[in-house]
Amino acid sequence: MKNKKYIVLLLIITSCTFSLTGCQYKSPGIDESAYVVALGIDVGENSRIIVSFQILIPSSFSGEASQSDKSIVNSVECTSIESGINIMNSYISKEINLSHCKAIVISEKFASQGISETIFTLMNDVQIRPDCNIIVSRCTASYFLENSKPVLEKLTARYYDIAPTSSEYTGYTQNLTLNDIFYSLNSYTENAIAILGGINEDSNEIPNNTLFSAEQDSSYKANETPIDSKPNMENMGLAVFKDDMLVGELNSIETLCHLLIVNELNTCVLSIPSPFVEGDTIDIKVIPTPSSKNKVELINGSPYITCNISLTARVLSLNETSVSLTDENMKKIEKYANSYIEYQIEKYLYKTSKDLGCDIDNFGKYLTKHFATEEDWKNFNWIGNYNNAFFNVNVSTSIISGNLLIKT
Amino acid sequence: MDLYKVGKIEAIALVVIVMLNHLVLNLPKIFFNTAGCAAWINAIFVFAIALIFLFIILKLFKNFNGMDILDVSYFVGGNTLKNIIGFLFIAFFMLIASALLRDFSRSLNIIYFRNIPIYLVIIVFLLVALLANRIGSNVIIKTTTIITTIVLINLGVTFFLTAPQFEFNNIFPILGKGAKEIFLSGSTNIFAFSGFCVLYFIMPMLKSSKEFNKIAIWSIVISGIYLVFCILSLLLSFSYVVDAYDLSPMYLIIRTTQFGKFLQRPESLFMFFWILSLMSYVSICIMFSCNIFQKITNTRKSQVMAYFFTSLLYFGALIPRNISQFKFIEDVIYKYFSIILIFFISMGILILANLKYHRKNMKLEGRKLNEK
Repeated sequence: MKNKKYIVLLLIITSCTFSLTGCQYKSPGIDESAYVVALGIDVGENSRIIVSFQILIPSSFSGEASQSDKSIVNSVECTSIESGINIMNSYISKEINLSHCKAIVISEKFASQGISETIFTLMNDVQIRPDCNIIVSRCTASYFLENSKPVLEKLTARYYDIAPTSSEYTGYTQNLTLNDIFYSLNSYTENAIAILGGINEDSNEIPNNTLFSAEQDSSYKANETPIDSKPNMENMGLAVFKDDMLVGELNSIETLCHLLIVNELNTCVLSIPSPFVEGDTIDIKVIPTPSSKNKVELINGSPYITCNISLTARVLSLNETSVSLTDENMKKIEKYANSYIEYQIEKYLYKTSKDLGCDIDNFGKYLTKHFATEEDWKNFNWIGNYNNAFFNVNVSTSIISGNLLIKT
Repeated sequence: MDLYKVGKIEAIALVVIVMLNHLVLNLPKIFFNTAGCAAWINAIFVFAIALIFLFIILKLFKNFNGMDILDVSYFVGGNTLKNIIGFLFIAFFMLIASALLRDFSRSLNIIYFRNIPIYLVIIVFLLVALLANRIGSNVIIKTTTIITTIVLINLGVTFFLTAPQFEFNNIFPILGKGAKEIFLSGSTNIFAFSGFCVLYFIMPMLKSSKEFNKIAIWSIVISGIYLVFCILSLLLSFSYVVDAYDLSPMYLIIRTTQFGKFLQRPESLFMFFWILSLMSYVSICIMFSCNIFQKITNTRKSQVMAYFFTSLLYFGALIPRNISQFKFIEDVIYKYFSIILIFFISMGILILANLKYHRKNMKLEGRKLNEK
């Protein structure tokens, strides 16, 4: 009897829930929302910013709005991101939904004026995911979005999702998210960085002023590569921020050095000067080992930073004149590889320290253990002291073998 | 209300769920606000104090086997003290349940139900709690045991899944905001162990009151370990920004953690378990309030009071108008009320009861000697 009473009560409650479908408090349906895959932010002429939205056109064949390959880019000049969204809602007569936003593109001009307000506002938005990528564009953000069309990928959302992951096998950029930049902006141990992006339009000319020919293929930034194709998105290098303002850019080899130091490089192909033929290069596939370590000490009040980087490598390029991979020859390649990588890393470190004054490798975290309290650490002003830093880089490369061939 | 006899595991679950609900919501944030990156030291320190406190309580309860804090109050100060303590604990249960209910509903409102007024979200939780209380305490206790297990697994999984992104240098500077903050101001964070309030009332509900010591130790140890581990996982993942977030840090850690490309947005699943956990928690608070009310008024059936306590919770949860009022209730009123009631008043009563007990025993022994 007692159980029957509760079953009836449960049935009444369950049936009541169906009546709630007509309730005035409902979430907008998929057909009432406009799904944004990428958001662009530029400096406005009259108002403060121009917000651009890359909105998906829902495919009639797909279930989800994010599973579409067609998109439009609309821009609005406004005073803030939220007011821009409001104006756009009114224009397209659908509610802008940012829950599928995969990339936030900020123009260089805007980034150089400071991005903290934008980043904090975006982090405050419930719809935007913290794993959304932040790209600093070398062109305007709206132009970047208009020319970012999926290539070798059918879906726009997945295209943005996959694009930054090339860093896993090239080391030419880093998969940086909104959460990463928000964390760095709040941190007292490091400066913020973002992906450097651009639109590759025409085939750029190959520069001939580099020191080594080995540097040639790894000294490009986004928008500079000599690729002959239709204009499209290109992520290469990193944008460096001091406080919240863009102060510099890193090219692909500098980005690679950064990834080596922070232990976030999976693998990459590197051209090093050949020890056998002057002016020639040898390509090696580099795989960092987990034993790479950084150490920071204070010597006479100045940070002394030691980077011990350990790598294994395979020789990729062999030709008819190549010598056999004997023990002696492998040691020669290792020696050249070590000195070349050490030179590149030192050059990169002194650039971030002396030119940019930014610790983007989070060396500060190694020094915090020498301070008792957070107050002491803040008073030390690590970021301010970083430009007094001097470096000692030790690279230890171990050549394992070639791939299939060991001699020709 | 018919009193269901509680087993060992069920009793541990009842105590632990009080801590777990606070843990998934705002507890870690309070530790970070107090001690900064030394929050983990503060958590261990508070855990140690809680253990010392626990052993004192167990010692003090030794002479009052099978009695709860109301029976002990009656022994010390008669009906007057029993009623005062009873009403204070009812107020405490109402306060912690309404504060947590409001906090969680607010989070749900922000994350999922932006277009739905908060009072509707609160009503859903209260309807479940009311229904559970009308069915009986056995339902609440059995369900709580299952839900506590799920939430414990859930938090354990969170810890291990976030482990790859741990940065161990985040624990430095080792003293965080300073030794004074960790060991002096931070000692007030003992309120994290407000699960003690359940221990004060659980003795008469136990199948075997001999198990009380084991139950108390296990429940506080589990609560303490989870507190330290949750704070460590937050600290090692993103220390600087924990106090910048308004919502639950545990939710944010799951939101920012990637579990591969296939399992995206797992926070909804975690949120679902936490919703069940809160429903269970509110039901427990109403159940204990009804039990206390029954005991202080000597009524036979107090189930009907569930309606009253549910309404009280509803209005209590709606009292804070804005975030500052809400924070004041959570950080000041709830914190100090729980410390004063659980760790001072109740302890004081137990000490007085023991003194009275020994005096009585001495008198009895004296009489026996005189008679001889």
